[in-house]
Amino acid sequence: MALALFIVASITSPFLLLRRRALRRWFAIYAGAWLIFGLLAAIARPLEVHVDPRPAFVVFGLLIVTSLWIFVAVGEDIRWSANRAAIVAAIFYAVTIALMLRTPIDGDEPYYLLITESMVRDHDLDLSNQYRDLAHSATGRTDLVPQLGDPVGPHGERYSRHEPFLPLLMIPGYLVGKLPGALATMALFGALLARSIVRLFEDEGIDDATTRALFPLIAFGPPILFYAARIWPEVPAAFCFVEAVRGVRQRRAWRWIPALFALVLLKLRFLLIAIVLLFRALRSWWQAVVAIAIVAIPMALVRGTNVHAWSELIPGTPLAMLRGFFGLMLDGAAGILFQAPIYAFGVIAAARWRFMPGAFRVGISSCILYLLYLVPRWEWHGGWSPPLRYIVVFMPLLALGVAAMWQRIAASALIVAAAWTFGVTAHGLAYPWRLFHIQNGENIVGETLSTIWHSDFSRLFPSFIRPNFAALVASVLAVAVVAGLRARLTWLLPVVIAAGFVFGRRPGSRIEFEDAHVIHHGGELYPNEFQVQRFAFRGGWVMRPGDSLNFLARAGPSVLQYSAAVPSMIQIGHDAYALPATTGYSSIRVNIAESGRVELRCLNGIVNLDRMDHE
Amino acid sequence: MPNRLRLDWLLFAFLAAVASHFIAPNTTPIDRALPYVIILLAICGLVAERWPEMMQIAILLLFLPPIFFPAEHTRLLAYGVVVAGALALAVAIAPRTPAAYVTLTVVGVILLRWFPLAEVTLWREVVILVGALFVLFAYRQRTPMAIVSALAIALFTPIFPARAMLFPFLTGALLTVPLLRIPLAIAFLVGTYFARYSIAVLCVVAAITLLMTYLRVAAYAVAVALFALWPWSGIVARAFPIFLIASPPTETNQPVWVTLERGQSVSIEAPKVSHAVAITASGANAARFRPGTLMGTVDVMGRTGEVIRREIRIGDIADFGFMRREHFFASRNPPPSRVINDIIGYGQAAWLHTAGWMVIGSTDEVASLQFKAASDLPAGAKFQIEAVDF
Repeated sequence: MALALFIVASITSPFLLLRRRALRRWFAIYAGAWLIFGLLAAIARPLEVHVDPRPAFVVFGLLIVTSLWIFVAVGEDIRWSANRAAIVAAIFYAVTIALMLRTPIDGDEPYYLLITESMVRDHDLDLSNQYRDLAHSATGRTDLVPQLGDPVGPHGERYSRHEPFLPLLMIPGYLVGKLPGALATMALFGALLARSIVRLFEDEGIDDATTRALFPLIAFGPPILFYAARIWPEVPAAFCFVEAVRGVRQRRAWRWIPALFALVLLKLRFLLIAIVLLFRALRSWWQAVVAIAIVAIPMALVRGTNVHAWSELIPGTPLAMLRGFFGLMLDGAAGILFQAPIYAFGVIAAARWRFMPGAFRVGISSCILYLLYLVPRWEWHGGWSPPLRYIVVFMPLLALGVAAMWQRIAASALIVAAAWTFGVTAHGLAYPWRLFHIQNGENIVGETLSTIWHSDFSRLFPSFIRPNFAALVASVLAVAVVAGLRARLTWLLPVVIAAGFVFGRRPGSRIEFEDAHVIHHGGELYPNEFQVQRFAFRGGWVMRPGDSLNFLARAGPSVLQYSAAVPSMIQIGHDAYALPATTGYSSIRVNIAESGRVELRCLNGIVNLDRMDHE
Repeated sequence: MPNRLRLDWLLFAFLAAVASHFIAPNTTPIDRALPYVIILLAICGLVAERWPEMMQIAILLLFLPPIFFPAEHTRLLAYGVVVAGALALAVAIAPRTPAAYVTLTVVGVILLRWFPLAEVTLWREVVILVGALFVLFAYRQRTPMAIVSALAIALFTPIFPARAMLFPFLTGALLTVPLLRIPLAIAFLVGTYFARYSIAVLCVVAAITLLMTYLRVAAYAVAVALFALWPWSGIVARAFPIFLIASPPTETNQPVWVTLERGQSVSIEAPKVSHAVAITASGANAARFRPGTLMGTVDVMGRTGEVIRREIRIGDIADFGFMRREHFFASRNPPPSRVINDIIGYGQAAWLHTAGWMVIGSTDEVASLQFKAASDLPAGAKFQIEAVDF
């Protein structure tokens, strides 16, 4: 299905974007690409190179799309406008939806759809009957239960904590095509967002060539691509926010008023953005009245289902803010640098504030309050959702910053960012379920390398979820880069990659027992993968008699952190250690005879092993 | 070319080559050659002049296979794809000057033929290199197609015997006669039908080279895909396209490794109940045998006394090493109709172990197999039973 859709998309979209010689040349390349792909597939078989066909097709498809956009970026014989960009975006979002539907919708998505179903079928927001009859739900999820802390009505009604505006918007789509129809609604907002981004760039004086070069990285890159094909309020919110900023900049109240109103209705937390933007937008008494309405009406509407408390408005500690802020920028699993690197230039652009376009300054400054409350929270990384969830709303504004300094970015840095974006996109499309990752401090690359080499590569990637030394180094380097430090990337990369690869295969000073580099023979992850608010727990690996772990460790004394409800006994190498029962976590000193592979066996009791630190 | 650009490439090549030494495993000659490959591609990037950052990042992609693909074939094919992509990019963007085209052709030939370095016969390879450059200049139009033609001829030219090395010069000479290209190509294609396999390969390559101008998209695509096999370029040169249908031996294959000389026979008891048997067999010292030459017979004995006799001829099997570069040109064997995918060696020295396999079915339950070498096999020639699978 996805392949057929892709073929249709890849044949139709060039007609929308190219003409004459460019069109002919692109189709020649298209035919050649299929031939190369077919030949390589034929060659791989006798060589016994086993490649999963799905990622292979996804990478091939993305290469095709990339080549098309290179033609568009080069700019000979092209057709280009905001509307054309939006139509092409819609076409490829349809393909993305087909790819995403390989696995059931996840995270908050089924709850939004459940609310839509409740509105359509029962004309209410009470989901208790929906939970009772999940077999007839379009969510495809029969395992749904109310989320932790969801409001309960006086007569046992089960409400969802989520705002009902997005489900309301999905009703037409749902009526037409159930789940695919609801997803198509999201894709429609994605296409509208794509159009708005192009129009925003035009409004702010970004030249056409830059827009055409940057557009595919924004519209078809993470995080917008992933959220445009899934049921989250982030992409509609981003569309509303861009339109609101455009309205404010153009002083067109009838653009920004409905946009801001919709933004806040989509998610109450966006009120923090709306308030700042409203202060910048107000120019008359009647606009002030409207502003009060924008704040008051959504609050009144969600009064019954709201799970937020006024106490949340107390700012977090400075340390938590620093951690969340740098995490959002640099975290290997949830930060901009690794999950959507092209926007990292937008962060750097913020450091050149005075030279940035007006919309960038209006938009980003409007997000300050929102960020101030987001970063100290535990779930700054987004929880069980595709990465960068909470900041998707202002990504288009960051993109404007990237566009504004496009000509000044080193080509090598741009190519690396584009290549990484390609990789993240391909990975997300090929394995949509991996967009959801437990927040354990590992990221996909580190985890993959750890699994291949059975050595801890995850420690090489900065983690602010489970803070490590790499996070400290990355933070210092990030500050230096924003301050103006520059280095030739193509000279630096070979050295960094080689050093990382050599260092990564050596034993680390900390072993987290649930990590991918540890070979687990028996036992189980603690807490389980789908534990709600899992990030609030200390992770670990639960072992019972007969279970064993195998890992690389450094010689010498180490401290083992564990919890055990009953007295237990483990064996490390030739030495046995008695672990007294604990309440909460405790530690014990152990000795590793020599550096290298170590086997840890559980001899007696049940123990949850958290980590081991070399002293 | 500005000195700054040269310095940039020099430093990049040095750092990347040294770094690759620490990244690549020490398991195959191709892995060990990675620093040299990087330097060669850096030379391509230097002469291409445009988009240096793009070329450098493309070269750095060579670091990914040893990090992410521990499986040997996957890793080497990934090297192949990256190198093919980087070279194709360099060829596409390089200025159309003789110096740039000569450099790119020389690098391409070195990649296709000079790894592993220990297997290189220097004077023969230098002759091939000169032949490739002759084809490059004979092509007249300075387009990427000229490089593709030169590399195709260099890839397929045998270095044994010495007279086969005239092939590039012959093709180059024919390329200088533009009006005759189509008739000459047709003549070569007709010749393919009558020639022995090793010469038919060269006829096909010559015909394609002559027709390349008319097959542009397909030619570029096939060239890129086949270049990706440079870690086993010998396979492309001598085992194509039969290699594409080569199959791995079954997991239940039982190695036998029995060699029968003229008139000798051997029996193998069936260890389990079976109604079919797969036989993997080959010849030794049989490279000069023509197709259809009888190598031996196999009698499939049933438990009730039924006997099925199958003659095994050149064509069903072949000399196990006739695709070695030293023997290929002189060999008269065709590849077996069903071949196993046993690749031996790397680079231009890589060859396909050309054992053929066949399946013999029986309505009766198979009790034993009796293999007998043909009584008229010349002295020294051997019929080899490599494996059976009941």
